[in-house]
Amino acid sequence: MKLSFSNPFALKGSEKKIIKAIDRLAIDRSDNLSFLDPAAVRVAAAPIKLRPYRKLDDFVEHLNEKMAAAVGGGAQLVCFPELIGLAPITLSPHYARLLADYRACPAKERGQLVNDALYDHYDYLQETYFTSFSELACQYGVYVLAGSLYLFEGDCLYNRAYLFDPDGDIVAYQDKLNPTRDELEFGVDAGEALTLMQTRIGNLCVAIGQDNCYFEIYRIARGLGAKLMLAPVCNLNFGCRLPHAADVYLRVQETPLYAVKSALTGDLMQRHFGGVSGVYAPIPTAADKQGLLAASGNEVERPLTCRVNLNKLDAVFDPFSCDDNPEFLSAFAARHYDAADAAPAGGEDEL
Amino acid sequence: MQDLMISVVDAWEQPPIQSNFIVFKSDQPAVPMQEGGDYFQKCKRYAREQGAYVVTGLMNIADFLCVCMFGPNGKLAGAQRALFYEQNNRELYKKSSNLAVFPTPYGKVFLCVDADIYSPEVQRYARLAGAEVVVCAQWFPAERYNEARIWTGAWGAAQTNNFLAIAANNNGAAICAPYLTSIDNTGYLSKPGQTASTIFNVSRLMEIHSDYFSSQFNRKLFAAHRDLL
Repeated sequence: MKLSFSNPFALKGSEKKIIKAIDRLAIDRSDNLSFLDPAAVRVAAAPIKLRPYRKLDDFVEHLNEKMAAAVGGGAQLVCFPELIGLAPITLSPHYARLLADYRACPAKERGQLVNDALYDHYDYLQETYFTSFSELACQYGVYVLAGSLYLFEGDCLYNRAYLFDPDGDIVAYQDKLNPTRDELEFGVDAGEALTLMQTRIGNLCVAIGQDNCYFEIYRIARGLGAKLMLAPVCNLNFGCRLPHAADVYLRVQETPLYAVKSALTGDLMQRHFGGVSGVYAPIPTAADKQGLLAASGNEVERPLTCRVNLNKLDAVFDPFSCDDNPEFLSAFAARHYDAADAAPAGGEDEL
Repeated sequence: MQDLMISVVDAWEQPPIQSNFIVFKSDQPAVPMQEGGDYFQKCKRYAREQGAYVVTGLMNIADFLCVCMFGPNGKLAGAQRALFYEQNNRELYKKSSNLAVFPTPYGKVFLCVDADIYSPEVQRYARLAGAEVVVCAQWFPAERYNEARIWTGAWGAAQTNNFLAIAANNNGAAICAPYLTSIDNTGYLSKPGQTASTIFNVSRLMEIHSDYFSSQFNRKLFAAHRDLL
């Protein structure tokens, strides 16, 4: 089934409109990055609860609300949630028809329909995304992990997150490494490597969405030299009544890193998204011995800002995971990482 | 697959519900070698009397820290040596490098010894070997136990790798599963308490369509960063 509207949507001059909207906000550039100390890095999760936008200014002002709160709290880096780059699609004059087409579409054809819709709106969405976050990063003078957006590169479609520096320039990007089943159905390709992003506050990596369910990604990040993991998520473990004990929290206990998780919630494209945001640490580094440095409730939009001491990661000691077993780990790696497919391990132990 | 009727109790106690799978809590860091023979005999007898699978507490067998499982006929149905050790045990025991999964009428069982549950590699290896039920037998010094040890151990293993995870330690017991299988979405089928019991069928694990499975891996990512894994 094809989309019922044939003209690609182009909101002309969206870049200029966004820059004007941001100029009107009269943002004072912060000096949060004037003092740099790995023992006192201030990070912020900026969860977003989607709301109806009537014009581009609404979207920009929504982002600015979160930036102002986070930067006002001293944040040197602000992490926005996964797929925030898709949110402006609600401004498309064809959005209602898009939803109608989606509802009318047979389930097995929905993947292609979504892919077509992303392609038709691509220029507008990516222009809005890059302009908004670049300008906000530059105006506030802080690093911004701009959540993620769906981005076409040649024949491939990626769920990609960009990090902007305090001058509004792109530091690096990261593609989602483990797309969900839904994403695979509408053609999202998996990224192929994890990128170390080097900043003045420290080295970091990004794990998008369900990438945070795989310990390997955190192991690789640590091996690359990252001390901070940024986790923009959307609907990850939504519904779990112990949400702060799932995914990202578990990963930083397995591999000593700090992590900032920012969740997208609300309604978009006929889906309801929920989840929690937080800042997580290995238990031995945390004063409360729980590892939860900051936390929000489900679908709560308040930015969370807190200070992390990156130096503590060099001396993390957990008496329950201080041991090594090179023989077992080597055998595991050979079976799991070198095998052409996920062959079962098997084998019998004898007493 | 048949229903698992699970109870976690102190050794030799009557289970609170009719059970076909009974796990003993460890009341000491490990049953000493010299007591192992008697302990084994009592476990065999108990298993036959209860007509149930019985999983022992932590045992010292030939200088390995071990957990064993007896079948309802009293025969040894599985045994696992520890792969990783908690700080206090590192100098006391020898280390194994093999991991095995044991079939039962209720699902394939992995006997996870003490600190092994905190290794994501061990969890993954067991999952890929087909484990559906993980029994986590642990001993905690009093000053090192809090509920976070269950979250990051049995509970986390259940969420990440789609296991039914049974936690048994000297401070209590819990039974964990992917949160969508639990009535209250907490991921606890039996919340942490002095004992634990529940009825569960592992075929439900296959019905849970969570967005991630440990069988979906990014091989190109592994190849790109193989030196770090």
